Amino acid sequence: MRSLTQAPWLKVLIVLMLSMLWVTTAQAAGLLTRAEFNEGAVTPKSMSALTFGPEGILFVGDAVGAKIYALDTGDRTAAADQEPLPEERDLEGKIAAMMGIPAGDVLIHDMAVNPISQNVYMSISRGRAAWNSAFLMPNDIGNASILLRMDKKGNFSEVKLNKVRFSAVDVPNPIAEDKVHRWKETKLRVDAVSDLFFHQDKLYVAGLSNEEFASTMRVYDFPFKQQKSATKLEIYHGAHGKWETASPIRAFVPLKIDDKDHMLAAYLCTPLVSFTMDQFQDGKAIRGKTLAELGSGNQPLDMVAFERKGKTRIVLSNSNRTLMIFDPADIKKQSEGITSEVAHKAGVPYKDRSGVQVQQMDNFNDKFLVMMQRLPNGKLAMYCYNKDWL
Amino acid sequence: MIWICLWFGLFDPSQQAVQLEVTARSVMVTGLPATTLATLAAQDGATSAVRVYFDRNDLVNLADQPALMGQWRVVGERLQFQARFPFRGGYDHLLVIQPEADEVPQTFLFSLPAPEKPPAAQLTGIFPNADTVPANLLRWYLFFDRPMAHGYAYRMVRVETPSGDVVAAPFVVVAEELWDPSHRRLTLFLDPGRIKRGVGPRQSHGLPLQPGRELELVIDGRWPDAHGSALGQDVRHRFRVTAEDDRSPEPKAWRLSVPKVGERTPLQVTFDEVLDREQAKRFLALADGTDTAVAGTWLVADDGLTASFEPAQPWRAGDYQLQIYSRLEDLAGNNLRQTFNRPMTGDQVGAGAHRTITRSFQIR
Repeated sequence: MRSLTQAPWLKVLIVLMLSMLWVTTAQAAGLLTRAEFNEGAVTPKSMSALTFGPEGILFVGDAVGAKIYALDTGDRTAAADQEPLPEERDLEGKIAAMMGIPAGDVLIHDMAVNPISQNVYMSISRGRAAWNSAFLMPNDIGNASILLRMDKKGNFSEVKLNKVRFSAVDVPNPIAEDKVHRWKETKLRVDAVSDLFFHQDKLYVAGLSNEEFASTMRVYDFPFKQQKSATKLEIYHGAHGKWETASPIRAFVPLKIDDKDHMLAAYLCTPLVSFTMDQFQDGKAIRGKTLAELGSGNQPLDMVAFERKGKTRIVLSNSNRTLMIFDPADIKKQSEGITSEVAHKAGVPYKDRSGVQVQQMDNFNDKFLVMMQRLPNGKLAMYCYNKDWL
Repeated sequence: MIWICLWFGLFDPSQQAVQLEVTARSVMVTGLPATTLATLAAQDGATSAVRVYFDRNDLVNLADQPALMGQWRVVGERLQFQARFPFRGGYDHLLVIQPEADEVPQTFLFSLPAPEKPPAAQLTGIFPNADTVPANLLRWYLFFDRPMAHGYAYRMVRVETPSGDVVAAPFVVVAEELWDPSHRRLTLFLDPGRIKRGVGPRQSHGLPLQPGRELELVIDGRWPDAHGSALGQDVRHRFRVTAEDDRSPEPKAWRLSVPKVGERTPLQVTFDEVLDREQAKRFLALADGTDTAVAGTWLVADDGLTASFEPAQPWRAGDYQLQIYSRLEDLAGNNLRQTFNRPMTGDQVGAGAHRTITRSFQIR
């Protein structure tokens, strides 16, 4: 009878079992473990744009500091329900009372919802420079340095940045700090990061580079590596009747059209453009497909996509137009992009819903979007919007 | 800077007086009863036993106003509240001490002084400032000595008749408001649609300034400057409206008073009519015989009728050219190339590109 130790099939089995165990552990570890966060203080110069990834990871785009931070918020307790937030009719007033300033000195720059906890995060500046044009955005007149978290009951707490688990990466070749907008006369640097989105382990960052062809989409693998990918973007602005490269994407979301990954992007004054994700390649200059012209004198403020009861919808909020609700089927039908001058509205149709001056939007949970809207009385309200109505 | 406030009689008179020492970001309370301090010391410094409310002077109708962000702790015989952000001067802050939820809260008021405001801005000038203007006046400029607040321009300027009636909608409303970068010069456009002949608004509403009328431009004293201080008194500028001006300025008719060689006496230019003073500063230049700009300073008289050029160096003998960019306008927007109102005949559209017009002279 041969001894057990001499049985080669048993060795193979042990090795197999061990390797299976290792694979399982690595997968379960997830992004949070693989991200190799440092612990310490982060000092962003401007928390210009926020978006959530999985596992409570908050991405912060710092346009002035030309950096992207991934923060481990530690916020991983699942929300108990799919109910909405209580309506807040004076969000700035509430924040102002906590910061010890008049409501007019509170400026909210961006908002992101942690999909796990349904806690709302907002980047805020305390005080601001003078506002003298309807086209100035919060990042034009203040640098957000405070990060607040609001729980589902409407209670606030500060996300302390002096001791936080984080990982950071540079935004290479950002638009130079001394460059000035052609007619707004504001510093273009605040648009080095204009919006960001996490999708399938990659962080997509829109903004301006220091190239003459300034509008750029950067794609970062996450966990961050030293790699960089920057694609130059050109779009046809039908209302201006020309190809443009100077203006950054103001808001974007990923969208599957015909099983192909696309990026849907909105620009100032107000072209809606699609890119296919496979177009994004480092160093390339690519052209988007202009799907629609949504009206002049308007700033697209935020964009959100969701799937509800088997239907996908894209919602765009505007400074000077209603909420616009797009159906991917209509986007799909727009087989040709706009490439010649058109009147100020053209292209993909949309449903409109009341809600002008909705400054911020995000998916709150399965049933609701959360919105911040400037009311006619001047106050900033925050409320949930039922997705079934859109 | 430490501000000490004293409260007597709020607590049992046998107790020591409660004192607040307020610094930029903290308030230190001394003189609290030992029992209060002991109850507080047993609690966590993040509870609401000690809290501060911004811009409140009592607890009535507090509604859901949250307390200031900050932390408190008991240090020996003192209670310290450390605010997350500096206290804003000029606002009441209400400190509430309530060691137990079922106790009546004790409240104390404190504030830091408001930052000193600079003196209120003053209106320093109006252009045109003459007592007559053409009925097709295109712009008014208002000048202030300090930066003004944004958002009041069209509420704080009006045109009135002698009986006090307000002339309806004389200005075109530009939401951005047309301020210079220092926010000290405002440009007001009289509604060009009511000035241009053959255009709907003029046909339906007529000229904003009717010829022959006596009117007043009123600058409201409630107009706030950048620090929120009102101008003070209303300023009234009375003027008479004359006939429409439908001719372009004519540089050939300008009188030049040419200085002598070796002097630094300014070159004097007298226009044939009042010109837009703010444009004249930008659209006049002086070149020598080699078309090189002469260094020096242009000064346009307050009334917009004359301009002078003082050279940086004494005048040298030679040929000179007064260069006038054809965009220069008179009060009615008539520039050197075309009038604001003009008949459209046949297919005659536009008047060619703008150019520089010259007047030559010699200095000997």
